[in-house]
Amino acid sequence: MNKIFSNLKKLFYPTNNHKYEFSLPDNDTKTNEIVNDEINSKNDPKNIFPVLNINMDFLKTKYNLLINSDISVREFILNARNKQYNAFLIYIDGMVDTNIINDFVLEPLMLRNRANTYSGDETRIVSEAVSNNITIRRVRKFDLVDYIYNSLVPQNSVKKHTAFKDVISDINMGNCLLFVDTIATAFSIDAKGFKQRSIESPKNETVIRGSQEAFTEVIRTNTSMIRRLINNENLVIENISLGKISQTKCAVCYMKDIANDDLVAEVKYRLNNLDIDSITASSQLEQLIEDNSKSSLPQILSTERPDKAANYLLAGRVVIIVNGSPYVLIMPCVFVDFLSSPEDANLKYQYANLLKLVRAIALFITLLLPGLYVAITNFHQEIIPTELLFAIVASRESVPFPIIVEIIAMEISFELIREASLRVPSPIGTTIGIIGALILGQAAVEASIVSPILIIIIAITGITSFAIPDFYLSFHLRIARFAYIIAGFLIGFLGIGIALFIHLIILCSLKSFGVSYLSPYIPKTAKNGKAYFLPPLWNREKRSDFLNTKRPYSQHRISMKWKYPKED
Amino acid sequence: MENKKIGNFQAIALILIIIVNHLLLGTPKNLIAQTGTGTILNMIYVFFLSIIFVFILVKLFNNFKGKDILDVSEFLGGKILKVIVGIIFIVYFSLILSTTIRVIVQNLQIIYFDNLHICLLTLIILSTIAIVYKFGSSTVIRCNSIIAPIAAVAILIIAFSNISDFSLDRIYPILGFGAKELFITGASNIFAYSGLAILFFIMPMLKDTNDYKKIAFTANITIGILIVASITSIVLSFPFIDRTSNISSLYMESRDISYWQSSQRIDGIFVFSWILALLSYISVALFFIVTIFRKLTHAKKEFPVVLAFINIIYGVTLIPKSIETVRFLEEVVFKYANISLIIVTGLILMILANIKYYFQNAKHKKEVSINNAQ
Repeated sequence: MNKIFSNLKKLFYPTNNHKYEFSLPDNDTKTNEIVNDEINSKNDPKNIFPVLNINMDFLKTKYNLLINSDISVREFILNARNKQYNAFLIYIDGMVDTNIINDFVLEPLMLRNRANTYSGDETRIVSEAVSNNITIRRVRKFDLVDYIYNSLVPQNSVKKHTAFKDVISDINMGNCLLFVDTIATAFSIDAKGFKQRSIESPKNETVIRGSQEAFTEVIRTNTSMIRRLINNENLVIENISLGKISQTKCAVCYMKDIANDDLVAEVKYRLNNLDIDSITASSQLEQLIEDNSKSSLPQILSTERPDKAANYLLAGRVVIIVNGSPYVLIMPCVFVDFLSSPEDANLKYQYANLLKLVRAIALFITLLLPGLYVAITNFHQEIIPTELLFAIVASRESVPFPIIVEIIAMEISFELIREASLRVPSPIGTTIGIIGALILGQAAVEASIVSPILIIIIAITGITSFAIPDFYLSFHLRIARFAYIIAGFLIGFLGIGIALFIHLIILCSLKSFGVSYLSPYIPKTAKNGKAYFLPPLWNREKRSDFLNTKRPYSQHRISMKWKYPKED
Repeated sequence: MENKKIGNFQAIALILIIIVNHLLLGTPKNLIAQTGTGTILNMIYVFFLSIIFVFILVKLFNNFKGKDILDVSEFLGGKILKVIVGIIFIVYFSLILSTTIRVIVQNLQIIYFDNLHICLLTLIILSTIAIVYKFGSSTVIRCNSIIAPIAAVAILIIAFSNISDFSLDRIYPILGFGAKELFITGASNIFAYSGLAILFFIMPMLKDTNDYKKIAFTANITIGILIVASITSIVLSFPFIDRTSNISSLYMESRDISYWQSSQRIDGIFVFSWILALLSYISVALFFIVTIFRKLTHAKKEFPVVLAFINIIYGVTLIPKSIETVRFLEEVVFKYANISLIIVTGLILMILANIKYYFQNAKHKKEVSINNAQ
């Protein structure tokens, strides 16, 4: 009976099958222009009003104070010369140090003290002269703006703004803004106090004998770290804001007496001509200012080490620091820079050159070895010594796949392990490595999916890829490796030769900020000890010729004067 | 036309790559066929002849700083002569290029790709060149300055890796087929220095035209060392060069190289450098064809001209029906085209232009002195 009723109910009152769905409505705006207008409306007032309430209302609207939880507005009565003025402070909670605001802003302004209760003359006589019995006095009238600035805000960094654009920019940067009734000026007080990461050891560019400091996310901390290493007034650090919305602070650093003026101008030109809403990391900026953005080869060096950045600055390069990014950008860069480790500068030249040689070998192995293996086993077996050839043939006897399938499967598996171990939490990372090694190595061989010799090839390729110091170059080599494998599979050495030729052509075609990518070799310029292999430190007299620096020499011809005192 | 100024090293590399490729192909075989066991002596003799040739050329270009043979032809016989000379050189470079590609493709087919058709192999190689030219010809010149020295060193390694197999007895009889063949008809072996044809065109490209002399002599001496070294090694290694062999004699030599027990056949590595050298050579030869064509026609864009010539060369490369025709082109046409065009025509043009320059100069001086006297 119940069943009948339920069926009848279903018949007359069908259950609501409507599923909850949400989709964004189509955006009618076709261009970015309208969106931008909403953000920076043309109808917004440009300058600060002398009426406090209007300023407050405008800022409250601008910052959506009714719904925005972290914007604080503190209204109070300001005492000045025994008079009282309405005033308010506006700041972003969490970005300012409340102790600074309480002790060094509100207290001197609100509480009665000697400075703000002194009711001297309204006007002050600056100078006085008597001529023909007429006394001429030069009088300076009382100015509230100057008075507050000079006497009431005991802060080291206070700026006076009259435009709302600057006011908003400073509030967003973590400053505290003071507005006072009757004056059309706002005071930007540096009361930043947000939590930041302390200076730590470099994570990706570790060295044995070198500085153990790394950049942080805060631009001022980073600039100070460079300043500490280069104690010279010629170090210029210029600030530029990037991103129409994010207004990210960037610093362009260069040595005024060393860096080429055209190079500095070019860097600033590129930065000033970026029409973009936001930049949150240096790697994003890198992609926007490099010469050839389609190439997978890195053209700008990035580092987390202040000593490396300082060394490059002293060599005549330009460094860009992006607020919020612990990696700074160095430009221009040539190919050999990406094969240099920060350790090279700290080691004796013999040790550094040995490591550089190893890295150069690693570069060729990681790029060419799998492709050469495919080419040799498919087309040029005569190169392999007979015994080794027999061993390879025997090891592949039970493998049902052709070599190309084997090698691509193994390469992809290796990439998967690498990616997985990077993405998982670090305690599990090692487990993935072990599982991967076991599955890919022993189990795959035992199951006759791959041959043991191939495991060796992939392992060597993988290890050598880790010897490449630059992360981006390593990525490029990983991509190029697949192209070499396919080329080798299709037409053997001819294919690899063709791929290598095209690769060389791409390298030759690249430029980094006007400098040929293969400098100082192609085109050949004076190496001045700044080529791939390093001469002894005392012999590195000149800066790189391709940088056309203002000071070509970095040391005297006889740098060790204690040893050769009589030499010129 | 875009401004392509090249450095001294790049200029030398342009000349070097031509010679390297000819050495890797049939040139040593043809040289030895002409003079037999006396080829080493002949090569030293020809080297001195080439030095004289370069010396004369440098002297003749002294009055034409920053100009190439086309400009000189224009000076001598107006635009008509310029066009004629330009066309002759375009045909020469195209013919040499097509022959070289065909020989290489033929060799590659014999050695590795007996299942691949020549059309496809040629297409692969020429497609690579088309891709490469997307990056511009200045990139090609820069890339060549990496490859040319590597290829030259590879030749020297091959030449001296078989030193244990060298036998001094093989140079006897030292005069080969006789003194006449060695010093009179053997002088035609100067065709081995065909890369010096580049010297007719290189002057306007140089950053500093005063370095022309230095470049010419450095290139000539480097080429001389390479030719003499490779010929010496071939003569001393093989008792008899089989002229009917279809494979390059330097490749044959590389097959005998063995380093210890483990590396007994490294000719594959030789082929590897050979391919790089070949691709660079084709790009460079094409660069000169395109440069001459653009100078004659004032064509603004480079890439369409490159594509057009790649198509023409592809067609010309496939014309010969058999290996015999290719060998005839390589041995006879290539040799005599070099001698007649570069040495005879080039020099005659330069001499006539210098004579005209001398008379014009004299006339001008006379006019100036008359004006001064008035």
